[in-house]
Amino acid sequence: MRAKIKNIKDLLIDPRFINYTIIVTIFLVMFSLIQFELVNRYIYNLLVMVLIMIVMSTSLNIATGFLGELVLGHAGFMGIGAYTAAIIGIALRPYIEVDLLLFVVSAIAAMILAGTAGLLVGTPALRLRGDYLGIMTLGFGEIVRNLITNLDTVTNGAQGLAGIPRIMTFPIAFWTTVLIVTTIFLFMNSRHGRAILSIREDEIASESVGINITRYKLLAFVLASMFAGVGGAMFAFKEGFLAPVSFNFLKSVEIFVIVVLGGMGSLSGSIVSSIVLVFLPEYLRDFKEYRYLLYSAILVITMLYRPKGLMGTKEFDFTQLKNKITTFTKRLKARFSKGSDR
Amino acid sequence: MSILEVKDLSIQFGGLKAVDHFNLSVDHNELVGLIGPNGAGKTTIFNLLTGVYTPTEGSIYLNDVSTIGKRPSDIVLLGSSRTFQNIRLFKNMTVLDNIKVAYHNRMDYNFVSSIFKTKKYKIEEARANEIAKELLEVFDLLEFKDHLAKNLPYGKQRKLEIARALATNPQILLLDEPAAGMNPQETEELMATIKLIKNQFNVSILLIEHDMKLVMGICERIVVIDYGKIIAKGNPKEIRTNKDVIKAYLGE
Repeated sequence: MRAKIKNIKDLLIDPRFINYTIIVTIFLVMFSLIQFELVNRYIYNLLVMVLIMIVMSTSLNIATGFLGELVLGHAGFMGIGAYTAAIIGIALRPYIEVDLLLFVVSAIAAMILAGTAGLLVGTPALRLRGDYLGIMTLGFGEIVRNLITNLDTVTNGAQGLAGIPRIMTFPIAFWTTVLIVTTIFLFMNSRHGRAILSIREDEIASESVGINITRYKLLAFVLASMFAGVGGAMFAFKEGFLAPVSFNFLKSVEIFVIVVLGGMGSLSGSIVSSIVLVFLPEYLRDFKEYRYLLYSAILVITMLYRPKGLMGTKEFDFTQLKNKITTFTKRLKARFSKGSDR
Repeated sequence: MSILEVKDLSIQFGGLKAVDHFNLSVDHNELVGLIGPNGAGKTTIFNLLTGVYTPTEGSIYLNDVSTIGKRPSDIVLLGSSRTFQNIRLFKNMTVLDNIKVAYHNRMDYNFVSSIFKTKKYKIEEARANEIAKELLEVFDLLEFKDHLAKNLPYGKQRKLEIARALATNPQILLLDEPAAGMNPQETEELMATIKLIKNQFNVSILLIEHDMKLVMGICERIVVIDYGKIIAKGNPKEIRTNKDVIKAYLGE
C-alpha cells in the first residue's frame, strides 16, 4: 500500500502525481501550441483524428487484446455512435448553448445505443470462436453500414448527414480520450479485468476457477462497443458531416491493424500506434500512389520483426522510467568496473 | 458427513458407455485415489463431477446440493476445484495474478469501485494480495510471484496449478494425474505437498494417478475402474492383492 503523503518530497515521487503531471503537461504544451497558432489547421485536424483513433483502438483492445477475440466490425459500433450523436446533436443544438454539455449528452446517448447493439450482437456471437466470430462481426459491420444507407428519413442515406455542429475542439477531445483510456486501464487492473485476461489465456481453466466466462466475455464486448460509440460521437462532431462509407469494412480493418501493431493487450501500444498510423499516411503523401505500398511494407516488416506488436502486452509507465534508467546506469557501471579490474 | 456423494453416475457417448453406474462417497478430509488402465474413464468422471459433461444418468451431490445441469463455474462456488492432466495455467499472467484470478469470487467490489479506486477496492485487493502471498509461501513459490507462469519449471507449474485450485477455497480438491511427467524426486516432493494440503487446508482430495508408488503411499482408500465400471474398492493393501485389479492391469 502507498505511504501517506506528508511533504513535497513524498508528493514528487508519488506515481499518481507523476502521471497526472505528465498528462496535464502534454495537454498544456499541445494547447499552447494551438493557441499561439504554431500548428496549422491541417495538423490540428490530424491531432483530433489521432485522439479519435486512440479511443477506437483502446476500446477494440478490450475485445481483441484482453479478451482475445477476433472482432472485425468495430466501425459498425462507431457508425451507430456517430449517427446517434449527430442526430441528437442537431436536434438539441437550439436548446443547448454550451458545446461541452451538448457533446456530453450526445456522447452518452451514443454510448448507450452502441452498447445496446454490442449486447444484442454479442449474446449470440460470443458462442462462436476465432475466425467464425470474426466473420460474424464483419457481417454486423456491413449490416450497420447498409442500414445507415437505407434509412433515408433518419440518416439522409448515401447523400450523407450534414449540418452537425462542429464542436469537437482539442480540449474536449483530449479529456474525453484521457477519461476513456484511464477507465479502461483501471478496469483492466481490477478483478473483473483479471477475469477477462484469464479467459484469453485459457477458457477451460478460467471456468474451473469459478469465472462465469459467458458473462465476462459479454461484458468485455459491450464495454468495447460502448467506447466505440463515444469514438463515433467524437468523429461526428469533428467532421460536421457523416456518410455511411466512413464506417465500412476498411475502417474496421484500420482500427484492427492499429491494435495489432501496437500490441494486443497493451493500451500504451495502441496509443503509440494510433499516432504513428494516423500521421504516417499523411506524411507519405509525397510518394503519391506508392504510399499505400510503403504503408503495407511497414506493417509487414513490423510483423516480421515484432510479431507481438510494438509493445507486446507491456504498458509504458512514466513512474518506472526513473528506476529503469538507474538500473541501466548501474549495470553499465558494473560492467565498466569489471572491465577495468581485468 | 460426506462432502461428495455420487450415485449411479453414467454417461454414454454414442454407443460407448464411458462411465457405467459409478458410485462414490468422499468424506470430510479424506484422501481417495481413483485408478485404472488407460481409457478406463477416469478423466471422464472428473469432467462429469466438474460439470464439463452432463451425465446421461445418475446423481452428484456436493454438500447435499445437486450439481447436475450446473455450469462448471457455479460448481466451483459449491466447493469443488480441480487441476488438469495437461497443465492449464494462465501462461502470460504472473504467478501472483494466477492465484488472484482464482480468488475472484471471494472478492466483493463492483465495476464502479474499480474505476474510482474506492476504499473497498483497496481493502479487498490488499486482502487478496495478502492471502495469495500466504498461499504461495506454503508452496515455496513466493520468490517467483512476479514471474510469468510460463517461465516456471514443470514441477513448479504443477504446484502453482494446485495452489490456484486451493485459492477458490474448495472443500474437495480433484487432482488429475498430478505426478504426470515428474521424476522420482519431484514425485516424492509432490507426495509431501499433497499430505500438507490435506492437513493444512482441511480439504478432501480425490486423486487420479498412474504412479503406483504415490497412490499406494498416500491414499487412504482406492477405487479401481476399468471400462467405466468399478472393479475394486478398498485400502491400498487390499487393492495390491486384488485379482481383478491385477487382471485389468496385466491381463490373464
